[in-house]
Amino acid sequence: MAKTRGRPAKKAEKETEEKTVVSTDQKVQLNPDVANPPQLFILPENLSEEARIIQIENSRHSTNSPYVVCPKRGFFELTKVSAPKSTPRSWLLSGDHSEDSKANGADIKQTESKGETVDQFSTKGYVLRNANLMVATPIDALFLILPALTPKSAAKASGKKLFLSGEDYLDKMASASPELAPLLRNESLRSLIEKRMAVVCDTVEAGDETMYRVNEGKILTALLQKAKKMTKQGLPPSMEEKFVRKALEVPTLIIACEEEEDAVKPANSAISTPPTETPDTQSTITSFESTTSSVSQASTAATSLSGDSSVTVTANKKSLLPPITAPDGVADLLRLRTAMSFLCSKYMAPYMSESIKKLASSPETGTDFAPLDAHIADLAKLRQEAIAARSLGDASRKRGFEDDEGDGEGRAEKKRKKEEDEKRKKAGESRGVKTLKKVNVSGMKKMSDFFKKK
Amino acid sequence: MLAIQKSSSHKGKFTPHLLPCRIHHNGPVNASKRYWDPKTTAGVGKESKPTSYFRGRKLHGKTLAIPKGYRGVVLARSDRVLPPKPDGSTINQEDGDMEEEGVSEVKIVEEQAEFGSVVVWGHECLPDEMADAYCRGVEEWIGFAEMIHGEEEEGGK
Repeated sequence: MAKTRGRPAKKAEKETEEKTVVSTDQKVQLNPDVANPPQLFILPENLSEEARIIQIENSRHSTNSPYVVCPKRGFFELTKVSAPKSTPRSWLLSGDHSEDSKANGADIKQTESKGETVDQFSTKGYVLRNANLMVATPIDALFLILPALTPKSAAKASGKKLFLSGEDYLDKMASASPELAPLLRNESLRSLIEKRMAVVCDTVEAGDETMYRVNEGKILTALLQKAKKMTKQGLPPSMEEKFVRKALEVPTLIIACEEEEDAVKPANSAISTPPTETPDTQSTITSFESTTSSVSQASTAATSLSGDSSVTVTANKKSLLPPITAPDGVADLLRLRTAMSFLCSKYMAPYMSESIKKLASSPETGTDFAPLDAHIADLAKLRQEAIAARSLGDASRKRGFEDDEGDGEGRAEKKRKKEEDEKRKKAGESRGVKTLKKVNVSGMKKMSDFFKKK
Repeated sequence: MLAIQKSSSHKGKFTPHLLPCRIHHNGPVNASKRYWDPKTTAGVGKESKPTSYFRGRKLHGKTLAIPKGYRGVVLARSDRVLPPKPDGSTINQEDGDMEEEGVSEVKIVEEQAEFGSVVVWGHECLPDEMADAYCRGVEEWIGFAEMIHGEEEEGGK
């Protein structure tokens, strides 16, 4: 006894010693919440000294968003990656644990004794409550100059647009985002923007200056070129999944369902039971004591029983991504369209993307989305048909036994009422009563027994 | 406007861990080996899988390497202001004839440390690559954005 007690006590002592040490440490450290916590960035390599993080007018929302501008590397867009509210996260920054912990402790004491500010960043461990990550990715200067090229007012009165010099456009851009102005004095950035401007503009040489006027057709071709480039190496998996696979997949799922049903029937017949009767007989038996839902339950039970093979088949299908079943080129067209709408919705002001979309849907633009539209219309039809067919199938099955009983609808309504009543009753019950109901009371005396006269 | 400069107290390399929980604190902590000790089990399957325990909960980690051409840095705002450039620099030649009124002061953000990879931790399971915003942000978005906007070089030449 003494031994067994002794050992843990020792351990506990040790632990408490350590803990007290640690906790005092923590008390010293954990006091202030840092006012201006550092942030994590992913930045391009080799940024020059002149690189700046500035606010530029966003081409989409006409509000300011942060960008990194570097005279050498060009423009970069800062995208904030943050955790969704449903899954809160935090950063824990820690160094490699190669260093001796004692040395670390000494470090801290030193810094403290030096009286350095506590918000000093240390790789020993640092917690950031907001798990944000700013990712800088290249952005085409085209999208930055676009708002200046296509002012909202001009878009409405699109009849007459004037040729303006590059200088004028740059001035417009600078007035929209004043922080950009000093950087625009930079020659390399200017030429970069003007080069991109020339891609989407009609140009006229006036004297030694080039004058620009925006051309929507050229914007469209530039966008299409981009979109094609995006699709060439395939869209990122999550995008592919969401916009391409899902869009083309849904009817294939229904086909799979139908296949399943088809597979079940022959399986049943192979077992030499009459294929349609098995679920019906079951349901008639059960229908005496339960409600309408039992029909579908019984039938699903029947399918799951007899359709073991089909179940495994569908499981396989899920793990191996099913090939997209669509006519040649349709998937590619959908990808292209997805890429286009991504570009429009991310980088273009709404009024611009409207007009571009209009242009894109007109037939002269080179890419013909007609097969895609036709296919998608087909799919929608298929989907509807499948849904209709399924509900029809259910209805016919129901009628099968309800006809025997007489007026099917009146019965169904009664059942529904009964169900609702039951639900209401159940809702009134407390949890305790419900759990007590499960108790096996056979063999127990009834409560009333105790109050009988003897 | 912010300029990036290396801090004098640059702490070198470290690893940011994305915990699957929120800690209501900003600031330095003593993440000693006792409390945070990620271990990588060397190649049982295909890759080495980091695991760790945080307050008794088992976490599985997924290491995201920062793509080539990029680097991860920790930036902190400072109150220092970048001294306005005197003439000498070749890049700001035109400052002379332009009026200086528009120039706002340039604050300095200090690069406190850098990192080469991020570890995303999931509680009892690996974070889902398709759904996790961080995996997608680091692995998908950068490459995709380069594809979208990489035209500059081709178009320019």
